[in-house]
Amino acid sequence: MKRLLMLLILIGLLTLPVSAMEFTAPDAPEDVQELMPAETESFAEGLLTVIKAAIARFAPELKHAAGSCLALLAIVLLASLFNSMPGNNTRIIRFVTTLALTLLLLGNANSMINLCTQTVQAISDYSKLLLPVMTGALAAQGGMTSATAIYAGTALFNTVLTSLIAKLLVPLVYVFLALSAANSAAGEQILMKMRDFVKWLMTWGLKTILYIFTGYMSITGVITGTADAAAVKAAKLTISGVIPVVGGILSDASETVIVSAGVMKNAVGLYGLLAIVAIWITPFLQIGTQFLLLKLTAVLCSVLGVKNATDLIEDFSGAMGILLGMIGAVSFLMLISMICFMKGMG
Amino acid sequence: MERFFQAAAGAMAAVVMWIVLSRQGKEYGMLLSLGACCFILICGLRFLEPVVELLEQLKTLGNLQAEWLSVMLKATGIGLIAELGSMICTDAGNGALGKTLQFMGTAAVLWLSIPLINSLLALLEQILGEI
Repeated sequence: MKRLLMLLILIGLLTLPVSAMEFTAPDAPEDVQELMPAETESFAEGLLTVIKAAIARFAPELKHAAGSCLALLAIVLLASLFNSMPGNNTRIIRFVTTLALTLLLLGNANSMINLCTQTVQAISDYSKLLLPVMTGALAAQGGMTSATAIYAGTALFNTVLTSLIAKLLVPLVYVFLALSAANSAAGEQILMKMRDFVKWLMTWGLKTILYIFTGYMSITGVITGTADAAAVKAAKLTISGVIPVVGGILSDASETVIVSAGVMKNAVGLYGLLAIVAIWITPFLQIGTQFLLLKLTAVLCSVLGVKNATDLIEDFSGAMGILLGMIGAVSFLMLISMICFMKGMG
Repeated sequence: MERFFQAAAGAMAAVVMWIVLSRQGKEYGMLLSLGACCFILICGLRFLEPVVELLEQLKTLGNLQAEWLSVMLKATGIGLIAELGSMICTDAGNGALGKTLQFMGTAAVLWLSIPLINSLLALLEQILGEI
């Protein structure tokens, strides 16, 4: 009677609807959706689509950036007329030149700084949606320890880096630009030293965080990966050993579930990687173009022999480089994290 | 280039004449020097005509505000005239007048650059508001 009752309960359980766990990547932000490929089978193909769309979107910005550089060249050309004359009036002309150049450069630099801040925030916001999904997917694949460690590390470093950029590095960029302009107008050694120190501080801060993050990821990858692999192997052995008759079949079936979870995780990861690249690529191209064009303008200005103007333009180009470093650091952090999640259990 | 060689030859001739005329009276040498400077400056300005055209082109291509370029042009002109005037005064033995002229030039350029300073202040105010 007891056996019959158990059999009936088990048969009843079979009639219950069941569903597999599903992981879907959060949608990319609205403004970059048009850059995302409709469907892609490989990362390289998707990346190419994103890059092509970003370049097409960015083309009008290039004209504006080139125009600004021509305007800078016009001012420096004018300043070079007075450069050969000795005397006290050189200082005042130097002051006016710096004033005009700063006005032109600061407007553009401010737009680029705002763009950088928005991009960092957008990547950070998207990562807050993507990381829990990737953590769940990796945990479903059996990488419980790896998922927790990678999530904790990425979330921590992402928060620290985003706060550092918003609250310290961006104001420091403005300080750097102000010191550069003051140095160009006055030509004081102390201002130059202070400017160099601020630049060093910003690059050192970014580099240090990335070094620590990469180190953390490498160490946790080795330790937790091994622990998870051992745990999964032990679980399979237990299932096949403890459950009589069907233990081996169940163990093999669990392998299939793990592989399926892995496929799902990689699909989410691939979408996440492309979404991060899509958020990052347009601002990177914009700031990168400004950086290169300002470098080119500085080279052309150096031919005209106006040293203070050349230095000022080079400093603004350096600031663009730091902005590139900022968005590059946040994207690098997220991309490395995604790759660690995808690699997770192999 | 012909004009440049003419100006250079004129300058050489003026120096020789200045040495001769200075013996007759300092004021003659002074007048000659002033005349030669004006002549060379006019020759130089002819060279600058295509440069100003290029600046206009760059201004159009770069969407540079006409006001800024005008301030820069005027400041350069004032600076050059003040410097040249100051040197002539110093050569004539009146250093005080030369210095005063330089100060005048500096004041004039500062006065000219007030719109630029105002624009920069407005931009800074806007940036500080955004931070």
